Amino acid sequence: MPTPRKKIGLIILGGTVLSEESSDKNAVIVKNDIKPWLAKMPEINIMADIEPIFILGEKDNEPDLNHWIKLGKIIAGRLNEFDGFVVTHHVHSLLPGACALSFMLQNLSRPVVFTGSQIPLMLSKKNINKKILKKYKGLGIKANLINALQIAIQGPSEVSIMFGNKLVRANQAHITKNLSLNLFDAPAKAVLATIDFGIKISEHNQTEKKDALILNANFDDNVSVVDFNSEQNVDYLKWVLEKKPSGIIIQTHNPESALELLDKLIPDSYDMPILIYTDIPYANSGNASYILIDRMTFEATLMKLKWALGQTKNRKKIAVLMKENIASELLEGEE
Amino acid sequence: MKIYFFGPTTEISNYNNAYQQILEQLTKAGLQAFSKTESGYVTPISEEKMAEIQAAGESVLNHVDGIVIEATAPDSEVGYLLAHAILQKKPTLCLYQKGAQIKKTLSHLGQNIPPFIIAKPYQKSDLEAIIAEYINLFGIDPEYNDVPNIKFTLRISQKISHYLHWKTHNTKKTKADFLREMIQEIIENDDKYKKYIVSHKNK
Repeated sequence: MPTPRKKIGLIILGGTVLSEESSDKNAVIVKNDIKPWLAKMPEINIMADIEPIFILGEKDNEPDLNHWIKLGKIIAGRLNEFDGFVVTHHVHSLLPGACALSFMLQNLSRPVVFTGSQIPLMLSKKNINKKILKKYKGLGIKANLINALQIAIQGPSEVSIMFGNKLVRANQAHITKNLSLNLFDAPAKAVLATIDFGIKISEHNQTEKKDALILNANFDDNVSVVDFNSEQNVDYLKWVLEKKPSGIIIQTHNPESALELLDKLIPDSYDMPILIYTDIPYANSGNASYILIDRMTFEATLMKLKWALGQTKNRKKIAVLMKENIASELLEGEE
Repeated sequence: MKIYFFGPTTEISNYNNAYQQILEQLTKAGLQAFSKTESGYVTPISEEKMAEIQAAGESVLNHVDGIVIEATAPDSEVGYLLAHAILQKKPTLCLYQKGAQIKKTLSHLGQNIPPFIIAKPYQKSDLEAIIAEYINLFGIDPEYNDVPNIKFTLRISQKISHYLHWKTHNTKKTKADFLREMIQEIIENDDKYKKYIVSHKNK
């Protein structure tokens, strides 16, 4: 009996450059480029029926929260039409975008796989020498797209990122610093699959049966980030406090010292949520006025706070939400 | 030549014998064929090399010379492997028995089936001939594949002679065996040459 072909929604938000040579002629810049772009990869038609959905082109601005909300609504609205979704995305903003989606779409019953090209569009415009072109060789989207499509066909059903030979959970991923095919990495338990001759989905990440999808696309984008990692910039913090954002994240390697400073600067009547984000695990905030975050990636923390502020403005409720494992975003500590 | 063989594990009890026959024929034809077993892969690629490939984020398929697929049982991995084979221009043989959907799958490429992809119906009796045809894609005449029947006289220095004697003394290898194996290894690791052979054959 013939097996029905899988149907995959291919949603485009940049990240489409195919090859390092003539990058501007090998990408989706406007919607009409999709057909010739797909025609350059006939091999993907073997894998599934692919329906492209255009949101942003290569020359448009970086995708932002409004684009990600639109993306989430498209996926939620057309969930039952497809077996899975692949999202091509500008690489610079891919991580927060994928994190936002993981909070927006809960109980996801289809794989949503983010991928893209590491080759910048302007590569062909500059006077690029052969050495630079060689550096970008193989960093185009084709192999990533083939792998991402296969993940969209066979799972796991969650928001993930596929680059090189690694599939990672989006809200536990971090970007690697070098120009490598594996652009993103994650702790071992958040590596959902690896690729050798085929795709090996980790046993602990096999797809489970889930309840109905919950789309919660309410976000509050008015969040400020203050970086105390290199120095405690008090003037900047004062300026931010005067602006009255809905929430603040303070990044610091030294949470205790930051807390001391905040106690002096911030009056008790101040009721906006202030997160202390640190990479020091098991730090002790010792102060209920601030929410200490030490078990999430920065991108997940930022997008989760924006999402939590979209659910409630109550500081205590936000503190509870931030500590709750909403979309498997909490990094597991050493046992 | 390193050849990755894939046979879907769905309905494996129906096809296991066929997979074994194909692997045997590939080996008989002088190819280093390997496939996934219950315990993983026993590949001709060294563990160190595999670790290097994984760390670099590369596709392991880049490091094989060709792919053979038994595509009778439907499996999404067949399309996946074919897509990579086309992207990487890997000589690929798709074998299938009556009732398989592979021709239909390939029809999604339109008129663009590349010359390095061969799809063939087969029976046990014609496997040898089909594999011989596949080997042609590598630019090697199967009749002469790895058979050292060309006489080649080579002048060498005392130093090389001394080394060859030392290297092969008390081993079962002759000096000629040692040199042939070295050259074979160089050929297998020479990606430029392999690409040249495939493109030359496809012209």
